[in-house]
Amino acid sequence: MTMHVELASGVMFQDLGEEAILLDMDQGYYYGLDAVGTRFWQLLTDGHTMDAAVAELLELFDVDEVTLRSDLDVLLAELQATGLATVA
Amino acid sequence: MGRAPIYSAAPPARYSFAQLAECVSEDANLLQSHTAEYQTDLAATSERLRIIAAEFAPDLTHAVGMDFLAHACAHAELQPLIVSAHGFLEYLVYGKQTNLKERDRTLLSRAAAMLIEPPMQAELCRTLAPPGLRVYEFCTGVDGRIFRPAMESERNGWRRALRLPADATVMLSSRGWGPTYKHDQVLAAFAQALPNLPTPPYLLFHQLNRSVRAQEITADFERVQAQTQARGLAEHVRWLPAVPPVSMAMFYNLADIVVSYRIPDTFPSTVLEALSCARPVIVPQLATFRASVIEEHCTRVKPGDVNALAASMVDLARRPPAAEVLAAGRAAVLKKYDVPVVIEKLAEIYAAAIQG
Repeated sequence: MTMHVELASGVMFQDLGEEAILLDMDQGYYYGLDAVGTRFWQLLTDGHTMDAAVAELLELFDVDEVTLRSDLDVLLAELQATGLATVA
Repeated sequence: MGRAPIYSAAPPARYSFAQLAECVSEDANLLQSHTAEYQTDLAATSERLRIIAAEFAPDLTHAVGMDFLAHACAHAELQPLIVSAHGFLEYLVYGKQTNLKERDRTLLSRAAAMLIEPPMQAELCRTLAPPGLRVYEFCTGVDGRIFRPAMESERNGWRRALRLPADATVMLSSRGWGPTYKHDQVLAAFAQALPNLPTPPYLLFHQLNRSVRAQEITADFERVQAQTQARGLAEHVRWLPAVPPVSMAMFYNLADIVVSYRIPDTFPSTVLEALSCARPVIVPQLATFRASVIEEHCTRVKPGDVNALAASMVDLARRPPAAEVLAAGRAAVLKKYDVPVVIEKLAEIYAAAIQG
């Protein structure tokens, strides 16, 4: 599945190495991404498809595909719900 | 191939901008040490610390700040005790006092080591410290991986998020609030510099942290907000949320010039972090910066001289330092204060304290 993910307007992204933060300057809160979330974000914003991102994360982390996909779905839904990112 | 086998569900916690700083002994800090109430609090806290120490049997105790808790640690006879001065001895440089206050001397006489940030103050304290106290020049350090120069694309993205033009001249007055931070003078200097700044100029301040309740601090913030309106600068001044410290790297990097104009000041992490991001930094010319990387790598302005501050803003905006000059500032900070360096030094200090 091809997915276009980008930061919403007014959101700042900071890569802290293995982690990252998203600062929403309009809403006034910040959101931390752990190592998994950060790598996932990087892969999607680099233009990877969801399947390609999942494949790479399965290589990197000790996790089964069902759990990973479920967690990533939750992450994407939360990023959209909080207005931090747009997913198309 | 696996880089990090540790997996945790990707969505982490969301945090509010409002910091949860809470000083449990704030009231006790405000009390005079000779009052009965203070002594009662000190005795109660010391007893609690003794119980904790008996349970956990620490190799040493490190009190960060010469505050009520540090005194309680000393009163509880926790040994070995290390004390970080953290600005508590500014009076030795900026006050009329030329020797340690009795209360501080008592605390330090019970400590194995004292850590102090400015090189000149470490020298001074070596001459004033109680016999046997080891005095180390020590700063909590800067994480050079986080406080690093940004790529152009990152910088532009952050400016876009703040709705600042990519070519704007951006200044960041990066400190907290309160009369000593002199944001009013920074604002006055910016107003004076404005007609001579090369591209659309913006000055960034942080909003007041919502957890702050001190009247003096709130009044200072409101005064500078009112001055911004009165000077007709509203469209040139942006009020950033109070952000977590780790995200300050973004704000240093999107700024063309970082201004830290607190008077007096000790040895601000802000300045070291901004230098580590390879940004030009303006600071007041202060005694505590003497013989330090701050003195060597920042633009120094006479304290309270708004004209000189404005001139420095214009000069740095029109003639930004060369990349090599900024890189040298970063290198100097990291050589002495990068986290691995600081960890190694602290481990040595701890080992020496434990060995006696």
